[in-house]
Amino acid sequence: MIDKLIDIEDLTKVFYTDEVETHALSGIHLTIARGEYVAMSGPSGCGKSTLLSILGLLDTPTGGKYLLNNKPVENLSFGERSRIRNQEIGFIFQSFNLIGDLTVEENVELPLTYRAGMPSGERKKRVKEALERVNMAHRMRHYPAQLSGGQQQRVAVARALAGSPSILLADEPTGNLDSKNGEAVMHLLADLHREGSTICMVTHDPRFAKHAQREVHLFDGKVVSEDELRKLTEEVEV
Amino acid sequence: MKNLWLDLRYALRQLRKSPAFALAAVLTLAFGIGATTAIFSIVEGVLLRPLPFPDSGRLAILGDSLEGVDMSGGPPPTTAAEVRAYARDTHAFAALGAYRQTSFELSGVGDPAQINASRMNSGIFPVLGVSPLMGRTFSQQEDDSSQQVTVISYQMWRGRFHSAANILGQKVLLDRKPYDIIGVMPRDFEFPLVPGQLNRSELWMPMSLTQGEIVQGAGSWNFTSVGRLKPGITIAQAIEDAQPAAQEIMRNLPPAMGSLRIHPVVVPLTESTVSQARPLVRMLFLAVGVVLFIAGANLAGLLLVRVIRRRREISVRLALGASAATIVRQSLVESLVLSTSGGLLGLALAAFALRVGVSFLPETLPRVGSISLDWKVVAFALGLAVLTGLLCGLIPALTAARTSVNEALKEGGRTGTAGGGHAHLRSALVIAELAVALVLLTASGLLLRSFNKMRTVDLGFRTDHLLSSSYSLPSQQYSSQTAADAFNAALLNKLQQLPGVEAVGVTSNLPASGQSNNNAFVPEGYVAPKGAGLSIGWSSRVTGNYFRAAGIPLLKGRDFTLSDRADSPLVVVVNRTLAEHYWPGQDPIGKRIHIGVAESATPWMTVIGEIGDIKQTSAEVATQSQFYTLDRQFKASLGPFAPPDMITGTGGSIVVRSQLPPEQMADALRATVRSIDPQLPLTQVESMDQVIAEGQASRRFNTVLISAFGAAAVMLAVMGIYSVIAFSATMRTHEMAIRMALGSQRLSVVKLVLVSGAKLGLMGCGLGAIAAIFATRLLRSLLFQVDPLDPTVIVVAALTIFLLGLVASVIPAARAASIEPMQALRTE
Repeated sequence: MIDKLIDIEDLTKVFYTDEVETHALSGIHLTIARGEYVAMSGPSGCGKSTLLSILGLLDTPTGGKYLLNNKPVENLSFGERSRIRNQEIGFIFQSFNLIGDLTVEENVELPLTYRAGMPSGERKKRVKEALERVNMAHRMRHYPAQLSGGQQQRVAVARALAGSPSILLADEPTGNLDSKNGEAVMHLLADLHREGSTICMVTHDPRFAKHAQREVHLFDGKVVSEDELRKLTEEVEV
Repeated sequence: MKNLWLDLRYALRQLRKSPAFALAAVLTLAFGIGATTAIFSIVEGVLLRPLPFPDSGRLAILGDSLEGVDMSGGPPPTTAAEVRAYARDTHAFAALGAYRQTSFELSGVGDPAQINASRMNSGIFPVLGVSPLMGRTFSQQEDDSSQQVTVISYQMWRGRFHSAANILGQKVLLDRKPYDIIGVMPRDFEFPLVPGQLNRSELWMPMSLTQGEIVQGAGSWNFTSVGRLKPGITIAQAIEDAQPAAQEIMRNLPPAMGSLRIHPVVVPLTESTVSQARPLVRMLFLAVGVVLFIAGANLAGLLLVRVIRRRREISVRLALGASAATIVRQSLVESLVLSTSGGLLGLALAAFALRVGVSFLPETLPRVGSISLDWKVVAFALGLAVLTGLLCGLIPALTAARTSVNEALKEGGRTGTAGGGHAHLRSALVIAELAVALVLLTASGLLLRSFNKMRTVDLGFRTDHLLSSSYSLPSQQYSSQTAADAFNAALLNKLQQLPGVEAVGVTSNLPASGQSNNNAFVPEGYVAPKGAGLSIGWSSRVTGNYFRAAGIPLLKGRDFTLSDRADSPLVVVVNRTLAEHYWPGQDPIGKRIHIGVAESATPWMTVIGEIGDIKQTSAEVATQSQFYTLDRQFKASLGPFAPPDMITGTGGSIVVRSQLPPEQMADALRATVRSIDPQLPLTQVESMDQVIAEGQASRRFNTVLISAFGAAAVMLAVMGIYSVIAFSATMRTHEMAIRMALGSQRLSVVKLVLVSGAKLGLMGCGLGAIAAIFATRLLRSLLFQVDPLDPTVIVVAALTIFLLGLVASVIPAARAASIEPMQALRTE
């Protein structure tokens, strides 16, 4: 039996702007098993970032069900969502989103400081481990501005890992990197997957999508097969 | 706690990275909190702090109110006879004493000087509950037997006696009579609690009422009774208790005063001490409150801008699981760091301001010695700092916590539209700032206008080239009328012979200097309307060529002459107001008045001259009936009420008109007096212009201080409008670039930004004008011949604020118009 970490049924997301309704997601069904590495791809505006935001509890769905660790999370309060995000989810953003005024160490420690009751010693230990894992322990006292893009993204990965989350959500993690650094980050994610991490990555680059075990294709807010996606894309181009 | 420490470290780091912001915020708050703390220390010292006597809430003044007589302006007074009657016949007081302020020539130790002192009966010290620092206070027996003993102040002991350990038993000469020093009061002892610092009593002596004061002084309300209410007795009960005593006093009044109706009045001592200072102190507190509000609103605006700039960072924190409470806490910690730094700096500024400024406080303010930075003031400043930090930081903190994570992260660092939602909030803060600044500017405008009006008031006499000074002949040396007359004759004669002197005179009351001497009088042939009170006039006794020296014009009749001797028919000079009020349409010359009430057996005095009206006590007090008698005829004018041993001409204010500037005449005046009596001290040797300026000092102080706060408020509000317009222009850089790329002229961009500034200015001024209509009513008691709703002042203040707001928008407008469209679009 599959150990479902994420189970989504008939998920919809509608944006209302003045009198215009935009259906960003329509009837999404998606399951991600624990330990799985999933890539979500599709053309711009297909809804993959919106879906990732909902998966990461940064946004709420308009309809449908969302079970995380077998618990419904679609209608939680702001505070509850914050707590779950902090404990269950690790984010890796395209633009790194490190805080410029904090050192590398402090950036990685940040999500741990939001956990009530975690002793300082435990935090320091976890930060050190996470940074060692991404090979950035030697840059602990540096500020983000003193690092290259690739190094910043590795720190962001360490920050996502430090809290030992159930899943890593990566939104175009190579989008702001050159190909060499992009490859390095992809290898890092692959290593993490091998070590047991569950990863869900949004990317529009087929080269990087290949690193994942499974690829989910989105088009106009719906999950489609690879063939359907090719056909729909061709229709649009025609 | 650990997290709080992290927040604190982070806040300090953030502020270190934005030194300009941190400095601006801390200085703004330091100014606001410092000014508020300094004024609060005045409020606390003058109004709030209990009087420096044990259980001071039970101390009260017992005095009279006379039907038909305006006796406002001081504690309710009593006569000498009533001092005894009230003490004997009232039961509401555990102890009741009385005092009378006086002055003496002090000699025998250091330079001779005229000093303030108080005659007090032995009941006063038990009432106040204060023991001497050294020695003892005087006893009932010493009071009754007129013993020449005195208790001196700590300051006199330190200053004149150099803290001599053997002070007790030493002698001091008061009016050249020896008095034994029997005690020294503690350093903080001050009684009576008179306004200002100049009139404080330096020593206290037994009251030792004379028979003359008790019998002939039946119509002289010159004493003040102070009592300690018995536990549980209310003011109303004390008044009720004093009624029978007042009835008895009225029954025992001389027949000449039989028509007087006396009502006992009991006023808490605290109220009597501070009531006159309350409007000014309240106004000042309100003014600094406005400044602090504007400073706080500015800080809130700046913090809001920071939140908007840090939107992305906050959204990352939220994405990583920070709760809303964590974000609010972190934001508040930063705001509290700023406000407490501002508070500590403000406290230092307040301490400095008080150290330097207490000597500039007006003499109308009581208990200035109590003004200090004690623990209550420090607690107030720190509490204010924390409260300001919380209030200013709350809106930005809540705004930060409500950051839309998804949207902020999606923006990917773009700032073009960020913060647009908070624009209304920032605008609202600035509108409120402008509105309250307008209220304060209007208040300051009204006070300035009042001050100007007061300066242009015709005082009725010439203040230029006029020197004045006071003297008081000691009774020991000048124990006979002959001796006093000889001194005065020599004084006038010698002064008149000085080069450049045009005229010399002496008066018992120097005009427009705050000296007041109101007396009841009866004008011949005048029938008072039913229900009218007594005829009261400001009376003055003069000698020499006083009217000419003072420059008071003679309108009808003649001046006093040497032929008007002490034993000649009694003569009087009246002012135009008296003549027109009591003898309208008639020639006052030849009419008669007498002192007292209709039943008084005082002799008639014939009016020989009518002079112009003068401002008797100050420029702002309406001119009342005035009459002038010759000093040498004063005893005769009192008729049977004059004590047999009364000596006239024992002091007053000398006025010397000369062609030379008065400052150059001062030494000649001193030398002349020294040549007649080497020991006699002269006090307040100053030009009449200085006397007038001192009389206006209180109003000048109010005006300057409130105007300074008004200017500060306007400056801060203008800074507020600048920061909002500048920030909003920066936020709209992308929009401006698009407009220009589409063909907009730079002038149109300038106009666009200026219009936003003008809109804020208009709304702030509109709101402020409405607020000013209500708020300036509080100023009514401080205004002079100016309506609190003076439209000119309100319009000028509103225009000033509006134009300054527009000027503040010019720089951001010019900056917005100078952007290069392609560069801005590429950056975006």
